[in-house]
Amino acid sequence: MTGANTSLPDTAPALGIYLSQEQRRRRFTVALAGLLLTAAVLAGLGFGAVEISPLQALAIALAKLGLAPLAEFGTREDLIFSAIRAPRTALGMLAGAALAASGAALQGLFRNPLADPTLIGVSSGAALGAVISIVFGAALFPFLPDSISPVLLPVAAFAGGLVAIALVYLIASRDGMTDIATLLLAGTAITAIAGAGIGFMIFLSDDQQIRDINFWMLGSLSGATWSALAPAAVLIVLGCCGILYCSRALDALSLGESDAHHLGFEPERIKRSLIVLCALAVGSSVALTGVIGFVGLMTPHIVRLLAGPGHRTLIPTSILLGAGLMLAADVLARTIVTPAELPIGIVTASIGGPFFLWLLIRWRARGGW
Amino acid sequence: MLSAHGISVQRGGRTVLDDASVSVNAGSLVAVVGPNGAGKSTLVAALTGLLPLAGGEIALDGDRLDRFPRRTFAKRVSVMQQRFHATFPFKAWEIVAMGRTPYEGLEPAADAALHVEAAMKATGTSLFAERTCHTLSGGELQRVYLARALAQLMPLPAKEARYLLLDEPTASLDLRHQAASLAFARDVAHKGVGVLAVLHDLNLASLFADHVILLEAGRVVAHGTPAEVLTRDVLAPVYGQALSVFADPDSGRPVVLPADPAVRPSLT
Repeated sequence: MTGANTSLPDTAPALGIYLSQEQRRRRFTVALAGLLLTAAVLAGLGFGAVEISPLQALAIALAKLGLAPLAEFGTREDLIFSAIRAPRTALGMLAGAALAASGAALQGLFRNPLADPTLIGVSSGAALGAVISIVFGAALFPFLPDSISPVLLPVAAFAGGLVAIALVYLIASRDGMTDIATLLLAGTAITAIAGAGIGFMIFLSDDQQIRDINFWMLGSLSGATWSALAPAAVLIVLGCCGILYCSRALDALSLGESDAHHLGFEPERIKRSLIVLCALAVGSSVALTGVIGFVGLMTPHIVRLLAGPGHRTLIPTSILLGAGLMLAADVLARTIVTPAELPIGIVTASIGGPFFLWLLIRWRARGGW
Repeated sequence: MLSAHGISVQRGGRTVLDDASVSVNAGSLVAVVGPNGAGKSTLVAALTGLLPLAGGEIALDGDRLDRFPRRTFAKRVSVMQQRFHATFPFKAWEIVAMGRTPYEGLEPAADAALHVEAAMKATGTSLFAERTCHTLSGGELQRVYLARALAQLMPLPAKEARYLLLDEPTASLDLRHQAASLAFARDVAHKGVGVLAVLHDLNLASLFADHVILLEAGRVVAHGTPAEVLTRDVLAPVYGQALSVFADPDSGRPVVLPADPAVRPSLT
C-alpha cells in the first residue's frame, strides 16, 4: 500500500509483459482450434465409402460457385459431396458450435463448471417433443403431405426445447430477478419430468417407433439436408454471435451478479438474453441431430485449460473447437463400423466421459478448478 | 456528493433500511458503523442501485440515480464487496483489468493497462499479478478486489467526482494491512474521491474517518465527527454493551474498548 512505512517491495514485471504473453496464448489457442477444425472438415468431407480427396472437395465446391474446376472429379463424387457430405459437415459444425458456445456461456452465467445445455432442460424438452412427434405424428397429422412430414420432428423438438426453457425460466423468476440456484433445480426437475414423458411414449410405441426413438436419442448427423439446415443455421449463427457479444459481460458475471452490476452491466437483462440465445442455438441444433452429450460440457473446459477462463477467448475458441470435435466424432462414428454407422452420442460419451474424468483428476491434483 | 435521502429497503418482508439519509462528499472518508444486521452492507448495495427502494431516492451530484445509464454510473462509483465468488481461475491482474470494463472501446488498450498497473502498484498487488485467484489468501484477494475498484475510477484526480464504496475492507486483513488499507482509502479520498467504508472496528473508524455514521436496525441513529459519534453515551445503548472510551494519547481521537464487567463492575 502507499505511505512511507507501509510500502511493500514491488519488483514485479510490468503488466505489459503479461498482456503480450496472454495475447500470444490467445492467438495460439485460436489457431490450434482453427487448425483442428480445418482438418476435421477435410476428414468429414473425404472419409466414407467413397473417398473424396481435399483437392477434389475444393474443386467441387468451386465448381458449384461457377469457377473453373481445379481437379478431376466424377458425377458420383459430385453427388455424394453435395447431397450427403457437405450438408452433414455443415450440420456437424453448426451443432458443435452451438453446443460448445452455449456450454461456455451457461457455465459462466451459472458460475458452475458442471453447467451445460442439458442442465437447464432445453435438450430434454426437445427430446420429449421429438419423441411425441415420432409416436403420434402420423396419427395426429395424417393429412400432411409427405414433403412436410420430415420437418415435423425438428419443429416438434424445437418447440419442446423452447417450452422447457420458458417453464424453467418462469419458475425461477420473481419480481424481475432470476435465482440461479432455482433455475438449475427447476431445469433438473423438468429434465426428470421430460424423462418420464419419454418413458411413457416408449411404452406406447411399436417396434419401429422404438428404433426411431432410440436412434434419435443417441444423436446422429445423418439426417442433414440443405432445406432443414437453412433455418437452423440462421438461428445457430444468431445465437453464437449473441453469445460472443456477451463475452465481456460473462467475465463480469462469472465473478458474481452484483459485481457485474457494479462494473456497469445490467445482470438481469444479460441473463435473460443469454438464456434465450442458448435456447435458440441448442434447440435448433438438438432438433436436427438429437441429443449429443459432452460436447457442450467438455469443450469449454479444454479451452480453459489451454487459454484461461477469460470469455473473450473462451467463447470463440469453444465455437471452433466444438465444431471440430463434433466433426471428428462423426467421422469416427461412421468409419469404425463401416458400412454401418454408430450413433454419434455413443462416440462423444465414450471418449468424452473418460477424458472428462481425467481432467477432473488432474484438477483435483492441482487443487481445484 | 453521493447521497441517499430517506431511503427504505425491504428484504423478504423485513425492513432492513428505514428512512435512512446518508451522504458522502468528494474528498472525504466516511465510515459506516453499527452492530451486526444494522443494514450497513444493504446501504452500500442500495447506494449503487443494486436493490429496489421501498422509499426515498439516491442522487449522484444532484441527479437521480435512475437518470444514469449503468455504464456511466459505473465510471463514477465503484464498489469493493465483502464476498468474492470467482468460480474460474482468473489471474489477479485479469480481475483488476475488469475494472476498466466501463471504458471498453473508449480508451486504447495501452491506457487501460497503465491504469490497471497503477492500481495494482497502489494496492501492493503487483507481486502476485500472475497468480490465479484460487491460490491467493483471503487478504490478498481482498486487495486485488480493492485494486479493481480503484482501477475503475482512474485516472485520479478526475474532472467529475468519483466515489469508492468499501464493504468491510479490513475484514480478512492483519493489523498492519488494516491500517495500510484505511491509510490507502484516506489517500484516495485526498485525491478528491468520496470514500464510504463499512467498518466493524470502531477504532479504525475513529483514527481514519472524517465522518462517522452509526446505524442501528436500519436507521441512522448518529452521525458526525468521530469525536461526536464515538462516545460511551451514544454507543453503549446501540451495541448493548458496556464500553470504555478514552482518548488516544497520540492522535487525540476516541478509542473504544468493550468493558469487562469483572474488572469494572461500575460500568454495567
